[in-house]
Amino acid sequence: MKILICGGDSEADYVIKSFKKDKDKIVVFNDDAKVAKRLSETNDIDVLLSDPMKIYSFESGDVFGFDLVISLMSRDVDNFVVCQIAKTLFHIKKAICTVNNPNNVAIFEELGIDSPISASFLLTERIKGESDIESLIKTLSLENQKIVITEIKIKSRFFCSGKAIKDLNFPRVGNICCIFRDPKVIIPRGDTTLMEGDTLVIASGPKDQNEVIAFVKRVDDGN
Amino acid sequence: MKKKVNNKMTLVIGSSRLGAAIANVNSDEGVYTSIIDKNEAAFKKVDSSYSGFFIVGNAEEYSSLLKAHIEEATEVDVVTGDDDTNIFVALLVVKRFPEMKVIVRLHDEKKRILLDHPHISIISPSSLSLETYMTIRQGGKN
Repeated sequence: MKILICGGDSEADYVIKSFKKDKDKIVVFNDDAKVAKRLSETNDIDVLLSDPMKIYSFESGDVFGFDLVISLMSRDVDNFVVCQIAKTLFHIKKAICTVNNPNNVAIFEELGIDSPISASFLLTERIKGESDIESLIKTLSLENQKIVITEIKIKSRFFCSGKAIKDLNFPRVGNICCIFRDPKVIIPRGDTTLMEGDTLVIASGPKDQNEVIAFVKRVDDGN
Repeated sequence: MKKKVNNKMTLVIGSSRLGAAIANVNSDEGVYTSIIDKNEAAFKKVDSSYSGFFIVGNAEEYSSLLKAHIEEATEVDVVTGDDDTNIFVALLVVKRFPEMKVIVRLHDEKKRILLDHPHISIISPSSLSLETYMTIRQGGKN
């Protein structure tokens, strides 16, 4: 994979190290001489001392058609423009950037940025996920919250405990991807019986998560 | 307020010298005008005869644009001193209001291509200066 990393300091360092392990081709733009020198020396990589906001930086970096741009500038609008230059002019396939204002996550997505990432937004989503439901349920969001993975531990009082999946009439909006039955991981089939202590890993859309959780946690027999 | 014309309303984003001048001209012509800037002191550049709204707010935040009456606007002039803010705000405005006439000041001529949209027009100070220079050099008068 060919990756362009724009701006940033310690976060750029972390990203460079992560991708360098996988032997990806990495090009780095940074307009801070001290940071650029440090990134270059500690990662043994060429860093272009150039302003990522300028189109000539992209031209000198020869990044046309790269797979990914990661913009780590300090201002949201700068990250937006870096991603726009990358995608519009240099046909970089995917744009990821950080945003300070969590409200900009939706706006950036609306304007074509593939993955705007806000620490506050992620934190809030995580807290919501943890507090909306009981502690025996964990959630993980993928693809910018478009897919939600929910883990639910089966209790003996749940109506589904002791029943085969095919007999549950499980909601069509969710799918049990796997079952963890310590120490085994089970790929479920229709005739797999759910047992107390099983951890179900369920994929669904975020809107449907509550329906899926409510279904699994039902204590009556569903009639 | 002066008598208003044609139900037009202009929202000026950025009370720069240009922004203040645009607000003054619109107000003088009787166009409903609203001007927004995050720095209240910037409104000192607007004439005392200006008749319109002053909104203190960050135009990079959509809620501030709503506060500045963007929903009633027929034209939005994005003229802060920062190209990247102008690009972001202009693209956000045409995305949310596809029929809006948007005029943007852009210093970096090379970024013009990012604003390639039928309803966006660009004011480029460097191009205008060059045109003036060429006119003067060819013996014309400024």
